[in-house]
Formats: sequence, structure tokens, C-alpha cells
Amino acid sequence: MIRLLGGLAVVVGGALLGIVYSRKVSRQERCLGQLIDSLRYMRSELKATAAPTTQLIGQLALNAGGEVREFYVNLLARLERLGDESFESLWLEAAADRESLPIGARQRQILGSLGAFMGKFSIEELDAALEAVIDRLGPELLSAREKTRDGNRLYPGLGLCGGFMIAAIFM
Amino acid sequence: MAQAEEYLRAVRLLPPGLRAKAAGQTDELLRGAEELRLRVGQAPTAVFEGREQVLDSAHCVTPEELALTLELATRSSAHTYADSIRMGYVTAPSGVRLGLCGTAVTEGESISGLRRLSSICIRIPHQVSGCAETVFPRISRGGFASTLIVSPPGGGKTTLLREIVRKLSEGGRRVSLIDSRNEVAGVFEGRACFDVGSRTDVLSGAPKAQGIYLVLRAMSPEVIAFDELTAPEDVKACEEAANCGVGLLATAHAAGLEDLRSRPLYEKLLERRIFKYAVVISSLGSQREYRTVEL
Repeated sequence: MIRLLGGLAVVVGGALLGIVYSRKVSRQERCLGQLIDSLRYMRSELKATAAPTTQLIGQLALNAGGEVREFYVNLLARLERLGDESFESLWLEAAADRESLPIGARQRQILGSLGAFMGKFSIEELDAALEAVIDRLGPELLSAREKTRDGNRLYPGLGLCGGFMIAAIFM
Repeated sequence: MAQAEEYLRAVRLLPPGLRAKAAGQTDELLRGAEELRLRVGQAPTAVFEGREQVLDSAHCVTPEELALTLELATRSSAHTYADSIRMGYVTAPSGVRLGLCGTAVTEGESISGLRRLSSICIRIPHQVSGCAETVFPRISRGGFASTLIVSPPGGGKTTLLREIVRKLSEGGRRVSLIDSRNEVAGVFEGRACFDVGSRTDVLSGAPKAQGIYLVLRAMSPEVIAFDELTAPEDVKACEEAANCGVGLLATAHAAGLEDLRSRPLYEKLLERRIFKYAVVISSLGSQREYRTVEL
């Protein structure tokens, strides 16, 4: 009986791990989509109002969607150190913070590259830099969507199978 | 003490590696410094009593430090300062003005921007309350008479202009200040960083001649004040404003009255008697001497 219960626990644990991983993938996809939306907002605000960088970040810290808001809130807090550190280093630091921005390492690197442009160039140049980053994040989002779609069934299934196999071996 | 505060306001724009050294200078320099100068590959200096003094001989300014200084002055928003960067300067939110030098980016025959900064000159603005005490009674006796403030660059024209504007305004006159380089009032987000009086309307960033016509139409000023009368169109606009019965307060670059009269632009202006008085500023070390002359 105990063996049976233990085996069942391993199977359920495997399935849960699969579900958690699937949720993580879907969270990354959602976050990436919101990040791209926030960069698009930044682009349109820059073109329409030439808003100062800190104002833009302040707006996004209030209004950006879901988890991406955390990234801008963090960045805004880091901007208190502007003067002792450059904007680029603060942006890179915020982009590297996994807690506030649950996206992949490559996507983080793409976002980080924007720090070298923000606040240093003309509106046209900033617009081009934002467009390039959005263009590079676009395929990442498509691939994340595919991964989420497939993963919603695959990962819990894999977890379940893995759990069964482990349970079978030990029983 | 107020002037030392202005110096420290300018020092806050320096990169961290330079800030402590620049702030730790003698009280005399803190109160009297006119400019801070940063040049790539050279030691940072301060202009004091007309001469450059090295602030830290062991420090060589790097291009990254210049970029950080500009970033601090623009609060990481160079795009909002594109027009003034094109003209070679930026006025920081604190009212401190930075002159910029680097590689010019040109479009056709005009400069569209600056890249790879090679030097920055941080001008320390001085609000010297009371500097117009000797001048003001004479130029405002029986109503304000149009006045031209004359001195070589760095002689204190802007400081005197600011103080006269403040006194006129506090005395009840409606003054329109055309602050082309945002140096006189240092307006940031609609609020003047310097005290230019409660009845002063500030038009920032406008070319002087166009600014004069604009305030004449829009603000019905009793006095129009602006810094640096330099172009024929400014003279024409002054003439039209004077014909409307508006008092004028302006500054001009010249070593003295003789120098002023020898220049074709000012010769015409003086002939037409648009200005009744000239205030000639002479520098004696860090002290200034003001001489009011009827034209």
C-alpha cells in the first residue's frame, strides 16, 4: 500500500513539474508580448511628444501590462543612482534582473542593447533603435508562442510519463 | 555663499570621478569660478579671475566622462535637447549651461548634430543680488530708459541683465524676457531657476528677432529684455519695438564704447538712438565695475 502511494506521489509530482514548467514557458511568452507592447508605446510616445526618458519610464512603471511593469518600476528606482552610474549601466542591470523580468537570456540581451541608445540620440535614431529591438524580439515571441502551444500538452505529459517510469522502476 | 551653491550645482553635473575633487577647492574658487572646462585627454580646469586653473592634474578627462556629463545635464534625454545641441549648448534643469564641442554632423550646409564630444564648458551662472544697485537708479529715473549692457564675453552681462530684469519686474513693470539660450532665467518645466521677478514673462528658445515680434503681439510688455544683440534682424526688431513705445534692455559683446561704435551693426543702432544708456562693465579680477553712460 505504501509502495502504491509512493508510486502515485511520484507520478503526481512528475505531472506537477511538467505543469509548472509549462506555466513558466507560457509566462515568458506573455511577458515577452507585454515587453514588445511597451517598446511600441515608447516608440509612439517619443514620436508624438518627444517625452523625456524618465517620464516615459515613469508612465510605463504605472501603466505597462502585467509583469513588464515590474521591470519599469525597478528601472525607475535604479534611476535614482543616475549621475553616479550611466543610464546604460542602469538599464543593463534592470534588463538582467530575472526576478522582475521573466524572459530568456537571449531576449534579455536584445533588450539590454537598447541601453546604449536610450537618451543619447535624436528621436529618429531612437526610433530606429527601438524598431530594430522590436524586430529582433518579434521572432523570439513567435518561437515562444509555439513553445507555449506545444508545451501546454507536452510538458505535463512528459512529467506524467517520467513520473510513471520512475514509479515503475522503483516498484 | 549663494555663489558657492551655484558652483556646487554645476559640479553635480560632473562625472563621479571628478565631482569630489572639483567640490574640494578653496572657498575663493568656489565663490568666484566662472566656468568648468573638460577636454578629452586633458586635466579638468576651472576659469577663475579670467584664468584657467587645473582642478586635478592627475586626472585625464575621458570621452566617456564627457558623455556622462551630457547625460546628466539632459537627464538621459538628449532627444529633447536636439535643437540646442545642434546649436552647441545645453541648459541643464538647474539652469547651468553647457557649451559643447565635438564632431559636427552636417546636413547640407547646416549643423544637424554633434557627435564624439571633445570638450564641454560648464558656465556657472551667478545670481548676484544687488549688482545693479549703482546702475538701476539712473536708468530707471522718471521711467525706464532703454539700456544696452556692454562687456567682453564672460564680463557679467547676463548677470547684470538678470538683476535689472528682476528689479524692473519687482518695481511693477511688465517685462518680457526673450531667453534664446535659456541662460538668463533657466526655465525648466515652465519654472524659472533664477529669480527674474514676479511680473516677468519668459520666452525661452526663440530667436531674438522673432521673439521680440511675438511678445509685442502676445504679451503687451512695458520692457523687452534679451541677451546678446548680434544680428541685423535683431536691430530691426529693436527699432520696431522702440517705435511701439516699449523699453529695451539688451546686452552686446564689446570691449567698451569705442569698440561698440566701431562695429557697423552697433554703429547703426547708436545712430538711431534706440538705446538711451549704455552700461559698460569692466572686470577687476573677480570684481566688476559698472559705468553708466548716456548715448
